[in-house]
Amino acid sequence: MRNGTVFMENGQPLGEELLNIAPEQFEIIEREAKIVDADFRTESVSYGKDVLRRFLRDRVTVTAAVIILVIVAMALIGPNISPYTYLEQNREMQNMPPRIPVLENIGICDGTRVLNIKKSSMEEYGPYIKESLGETTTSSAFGTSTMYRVKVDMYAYKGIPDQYFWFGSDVLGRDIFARLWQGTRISLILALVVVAVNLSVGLIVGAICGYYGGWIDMVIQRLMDIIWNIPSLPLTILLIMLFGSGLLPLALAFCLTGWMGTANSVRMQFYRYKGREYVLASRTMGASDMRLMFRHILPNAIGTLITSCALSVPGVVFQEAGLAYLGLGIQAPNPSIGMMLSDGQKVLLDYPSQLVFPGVVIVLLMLAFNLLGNGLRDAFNPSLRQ
Amino acid sequence: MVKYVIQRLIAAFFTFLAIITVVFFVLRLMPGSVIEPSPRLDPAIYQAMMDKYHLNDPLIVQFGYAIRDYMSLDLGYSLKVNPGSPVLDIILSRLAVTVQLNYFSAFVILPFGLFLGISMAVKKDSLYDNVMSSLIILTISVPSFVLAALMQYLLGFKFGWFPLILEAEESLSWTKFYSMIMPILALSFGGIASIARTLRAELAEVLTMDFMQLAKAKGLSYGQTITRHALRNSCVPLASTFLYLFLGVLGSSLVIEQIFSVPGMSKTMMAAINGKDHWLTMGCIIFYTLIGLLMAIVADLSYGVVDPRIRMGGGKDA
Amino acid sequence: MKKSRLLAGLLAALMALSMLTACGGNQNDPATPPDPTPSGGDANTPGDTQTPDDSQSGDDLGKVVRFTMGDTPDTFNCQTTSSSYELVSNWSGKLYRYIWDEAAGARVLVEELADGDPVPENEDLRNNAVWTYKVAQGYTFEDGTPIDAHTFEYSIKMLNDPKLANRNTDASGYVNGVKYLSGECEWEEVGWKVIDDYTFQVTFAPGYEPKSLLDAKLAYETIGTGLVHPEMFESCLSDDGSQTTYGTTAETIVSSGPYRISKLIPGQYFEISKRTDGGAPLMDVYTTERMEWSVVSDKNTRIQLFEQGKLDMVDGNGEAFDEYEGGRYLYQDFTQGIFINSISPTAEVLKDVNFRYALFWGYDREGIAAAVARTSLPTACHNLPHAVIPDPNNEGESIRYMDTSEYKAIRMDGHEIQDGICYDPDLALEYFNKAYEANGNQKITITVLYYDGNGSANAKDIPEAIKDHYEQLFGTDRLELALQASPWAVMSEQIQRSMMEYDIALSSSIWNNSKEPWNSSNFVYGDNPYAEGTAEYPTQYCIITDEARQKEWSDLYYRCASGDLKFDPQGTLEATARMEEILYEDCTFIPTHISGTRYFFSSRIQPLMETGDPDLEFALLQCKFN
Repeated sequence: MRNGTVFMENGQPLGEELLNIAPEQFEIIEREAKIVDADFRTESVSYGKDVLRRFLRDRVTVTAAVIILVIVAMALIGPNISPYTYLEQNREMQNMPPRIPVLENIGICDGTRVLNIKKSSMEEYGPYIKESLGETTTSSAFGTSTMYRVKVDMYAYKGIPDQYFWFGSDVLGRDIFARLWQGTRISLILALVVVAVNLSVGLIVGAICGYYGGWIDMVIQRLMDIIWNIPSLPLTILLIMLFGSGLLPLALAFCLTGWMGTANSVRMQFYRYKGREYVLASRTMGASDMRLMFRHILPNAIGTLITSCALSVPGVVFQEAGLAYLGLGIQAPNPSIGMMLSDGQKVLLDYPSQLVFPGVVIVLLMLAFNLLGNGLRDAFNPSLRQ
Repeated sequence: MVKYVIQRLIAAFFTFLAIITVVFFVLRLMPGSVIEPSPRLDPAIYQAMMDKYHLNDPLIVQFGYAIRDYMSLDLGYSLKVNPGSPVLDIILSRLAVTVQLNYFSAFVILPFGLFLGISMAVKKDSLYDNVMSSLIILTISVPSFVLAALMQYLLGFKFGWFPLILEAEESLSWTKFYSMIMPILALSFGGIASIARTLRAELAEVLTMDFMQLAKAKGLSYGQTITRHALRNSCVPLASTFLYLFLGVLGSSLVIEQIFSVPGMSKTMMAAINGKDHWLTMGCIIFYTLIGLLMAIVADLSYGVVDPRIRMGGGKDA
Repeated sequence: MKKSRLLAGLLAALMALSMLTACGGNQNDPATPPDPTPSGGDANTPGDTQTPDDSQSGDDLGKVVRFTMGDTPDTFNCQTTSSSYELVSNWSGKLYRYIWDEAAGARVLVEELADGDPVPENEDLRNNAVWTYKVAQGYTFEDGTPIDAHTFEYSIKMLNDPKLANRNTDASGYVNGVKYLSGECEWEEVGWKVIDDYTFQVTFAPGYEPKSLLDAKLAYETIGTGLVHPEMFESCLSDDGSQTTYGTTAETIVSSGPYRISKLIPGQYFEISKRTDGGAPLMDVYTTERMEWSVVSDKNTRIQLFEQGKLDMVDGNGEAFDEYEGGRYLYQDFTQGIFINSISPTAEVLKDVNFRYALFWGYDREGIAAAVARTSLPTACHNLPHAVIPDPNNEGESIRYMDTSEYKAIRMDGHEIQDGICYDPDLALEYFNKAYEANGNQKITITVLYYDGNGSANAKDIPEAIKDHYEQLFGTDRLELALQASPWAVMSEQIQRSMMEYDIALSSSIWNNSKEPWNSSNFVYGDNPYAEGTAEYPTQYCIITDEARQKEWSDLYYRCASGDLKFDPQGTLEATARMEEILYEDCTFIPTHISGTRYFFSSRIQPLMETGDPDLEFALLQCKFN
C-alpha cells in the first residue's frame, strides 16, 4: 500500500468496486478441491524407534547381536546339554582330544591325537593306531632316538570307544564343553554385575556432579582423581589379597575404578545441557531437580551410555582373563573363560585344543560386542553416518 | 597460564599425598608377616628385624617414619626382592628396557594407527572399513598371553624367524633389537587398535560437518580437506590418546614380560607385592603415581596447544 | 602446522626421557666387573680355557652349562639372601661345604676354606661348648686379598651386627650372641675369638652346643657364615651403618668361593665363571667353567628353548615327554600334605579323630598323584621319608630311618602304615560313618585353603582333585569341601600357630631335616621347646588335639633337642618313632605326596647322579661334558 492507495500487481491502482465487495459475495472456492498439504499420515517415529530402525538396517550389527544371543543361549543351556556336568571329574580320562559325533566321520574332531612314540611303545599303542605318519629321527635336544609319528584313537586306547567329550577333556578329565559354557556364563555374569554397578554408580555420581556443580563436584572430582591415579594392577592384586579370590572381590576390584568413565561422561552431558533453553523453560514451569535431571537432561546421554556399556562387557571378560593368568581369577572349581584360556596356555604345546575352544569363544564374544557397540553408536548418533 | 599450572601442581601434590597415605595403610593392613617365616632363620633375628624396620610400632608411627623418608627424597631400601638395594636403583635398572620396548612400539603404533584410522574414516562403511575394523578387533580380542604365546611358538619356534626370548645384552645392539621385535609387535596391537578406532570415529564425525562442505566448495582437493581441516579438528581427543601412549612408554605389561623374559617393572612390582616388600611396592607405586599425575597435567595443557579454542584457567593469558 | 610442532616436541621430550632413563639403567654398565687376573698360568684350570663365544652351536661351547631360573638372585650378599643358598655358596666361601661325591653316590661335607676338622676343648663331646676352627692358608678373594681368621671375624661380626640385623644371622648360636644382636653388649663379649692368624675359637651358647663333629662343621656350613670382603663391605655401608649395598650388584661383590660373578642383567640373565686367579678353593672339584642362567618363567618357552639347543637342562613333566629317554627326577625335601586345624571354630567335626582318620585312609595317593602331579613321588604316607639318622648299633655310621625296626613298628589306630600308600576306602568309609553319626547325621561342610599363584602349574589341580575325590567317596550329600585360594603370603600367616584361621589347608610340611628327624616334625604345635628368652618363631603348625598326646610329644621333643636323649642314638630313634606314631594317632597332618620334577639334559652334559639331591639338585657345576 502506498499513500492509502492499493495497487494491483501490474502497478494499476485497484478499482473502487473491487475494494468494496460485500462479505456475502465471497465464495470459498477450495471447498471442493483436493487439499495438497495434508498432515502426514505415516505413524510418528519416536527417537527409540528411529534408533531401532537404524540398528536393524545395519547387517553387521545385527549379525553381532545374533552371535551374542547365541553365546548367551549356549551359556544358559550349554552346561546342561553336555552328557557331563562341568564339575564331574574322571581322572582316568584326562586330556582327551575333542570328539564330535557327526564331524568325526569326516576326520575333524574324531578323537585322535598325533603322538611321537618310541619303538618300544608301538605295541602298547599298536591296535589303536589309525594312521601311521612315518618315522622321524628326531635330533632334538631330547636325544636322537627314532620316533614314530602315529595318529592314535585315544578313545579306543583308553577303552572308552562310546564316550564323547565334544571339546575334549581337561587334566582332571572334566568335559571342556560343559566347562566352557559354564565359564562363559560366569564371565558374563561377572561382566553384567560390573557393568550394572558401574553404570548406576557412575550415573548417580556423574549426575550429581554435573547438575549441582560447586563444591560437591569439586570434592568428588578430587576423590576420583585419587582413586584414578592409584596404579590399577597393584591395587587389584592388593584387593584380591585382602578379600581372597572369588566373584565378589573380583567384581569389587573392577568396580573400584570402572564407574569413573561413566561418571565423567554423564557429568559432561549434564554440564552441556543444564544451561539449555528448554531446561530453563522447564525449570521456570516448576519442574523439580529430579525431573530436570532424569527426564530432561539424562536422555541426551542414553546413547553414549548404552554404547559404552556394550563396549565394556568384553573389557571385563578380558580383564578377568588377564588376572586368571596371574592366578587371581575366579575361585576354583568354577571355571571362567579367562581361567580356561590360562589353563589352556599352560598346555599349549601338549594339548592345543584346550586353548582353541575357549579362544574361539572369547574372540567371538569380543568381536560381537565391539561390533555391536559400534553399531549402537552409529544408531544413536545418526550424524555420524554419511 | 603459569598460575593455572601452579594451581594444578598444588592440587596434584595433595592428590599424591592422599594416594600414598591410602596405599601405605592398605599395604600395612594386609595379612601376613613382613619377615617371611622360614625354619632356616635364626629365631633371634625375627625380633631384631621387626625392631629395625619399626614393625612393632603402631601404624601411625610407621607412617611418620615413611613420610619423613619420602620428604627427604629417600625411597628406602628393598627388604625382600633385592635385599639391601636402594629402591630407586631397582626401579631405574628395570626402567631402561621397558622404555626401549615401549619407545619402539610407539614407532610401530603411530604410523599404523594413523594410517588405518584415516583410511578407515575416509572409506567409512566400505568393505575395506569393515574388514579392517574386524581385523583390528580380532587382534585385541585374543588375550595378550595367548597372542604372545602363539607368536612365540609360530614365529619364533616353528618358523625360526625371531629369537624366543630377549637377548641378554645390557646395551641396545642390533641383535638385541632383533630379539625385541616380537615383544614390540605384541605390545603394539592394543595401541594400533585404540588409535585407529579413536581416529576413525573422530574423523568420521568431522567429515560430516558443514565446514568440510565449505572447504570442498573453496576448491580444495579431497586430500587437502582431510589434512588441513578434518585432521586438525580430530586432533583434540587424539592428543590425549597420544599422550597416554607416551605415558605408556613407562608402563609395562606383565604378560609380555613373563613370556619373552623381559626384565621389566611389572615383574618386580608383583614380586614386591607378593613378597610383602612394602618399601619396594611403595617405591613403584610412588613412581607410577607421580608420572600419572604429571602426565595428566601435560595432557590438559596440550589441549590448548592443539586447539587454541580451549583455554586454560579463565583464559585471559593462554 | 602446530600439530607437527607438537608431535616434534613430544618426540623430543620422549628422547630426553629415554636418554635419562637409559643413563639410569647404565648404572650397572660402567665396565664389566674387573677381571682380577687374566686367565692362564693357573695350575688348577684345565687346559682348554673358555673364550667368550656368542655362537649358539652346541659343539664349541666348551664347559658351559646353560639353564633357566625364575629370577636372578635377590642379592649376592650371603648375609641377607633369602633365595637359593646353594647358589650363593658359589661365591661366598665357607669353612665347609657340601659337594656331590660320585663314588659314594651321596653328598659329602668337605673342607672349603677350613684346614682340617674343628677341635673340641675336651674330648668328651657331651659337655663341650668350645671349639677351635682352623682356616686354610693360601686362599684369597678374587682380587687377591688373603683369607684368614681376621677375615672370618669381620664377616661373622658384620653378620650379627645389631644395626644391620641381617636375615641369615647365627647370633643365637654363640654365648652373648643374642645380646650383641640386640645391641646390649660389645663384640668382645661374644663367644667368638681369634686365636692366631689362621685359628679362631667359638663358644657355643647353651642349647646350641654341637653334639658331634658333624654338628660343629655344619655350624660353619650355613650360608650366613660365608665370607664378605672387608674393604668392599666397608665401602658399601651406609653412613649410619644400618644398610649395606654389598652384593646388590655384580660390582659390589668380591668372590671368596670357587666361582665369580661374570655377568648380571637383573631380572634377565646371570652368569658365573670359575675363578682363574689361583686363590680359589675346591678348584679340582668343580668342572664347569661357566654356568649361565636365563630368567624364563614360562614353561612352554623353556621347552622351546631346549629344543632349539639353547639350554642344557629343562623340566618336562608332561605326558608328551614320557616317550623320551633320559628323564631324571628331582624330589623336594618336604612332604606335601593336608593340614587339619582341629581347633577350627568353623568346623567342629575336625575335632573328631574318626573324621581325620577317614580323611587319611580315604586319600587316593597313587590315583591323584598319577593324574595331577605326574612326576611326584606317589609313596608318600610318611612324615619323614628322607631322614637319615646315626646308627645306634654302629658308632659313626648312619642308617635310613625308614629301615629301622622302630619305624616299622609304628601303627596308626592298630593299622599298618608301612606300605606307603595307605589307601583303604572301606576303612575310610567306616571311620567316616562313625564321624557322620557323631555329627548328628548332618552334612559336613569344610573349607579348604590352598595356595594359588602364577608359576605353580598344578596348584589348582590338586585341591580340585581332592575335593572331588572325597566328595565322591563319602557322598556329596554328606560332605562338602569348599575351596578357597589364597596368595602365599596370606596363607602362610593363616596357618601359623598364632592365627590358625583355617579348617583344612594344603601346604608342605617343614623341610625334612635328615639329621634330626624328630626336629623335622616340629611343624606340630607342642609347647615351646626352646629355652626361655628366645623368640617364639612363627612357622607352619598344626595342633595335636589330644592333650595327653601333646604333652608326651613335647616332652619327647624337648628331651631329644636338649635333654637326656640328645647323645643317645637309640633313645633318639625310639623317641622319634614314638613322636611319629603320635602324629599318626592324632592325625592332624595327612601326608599326600612329595613333589618332584623331571629334568632332561642336553647331550653335551652328563650329570653325576640319576636322582637329584634336594639341595645340590644335579650338581651341574660338577658335571661331566661329552
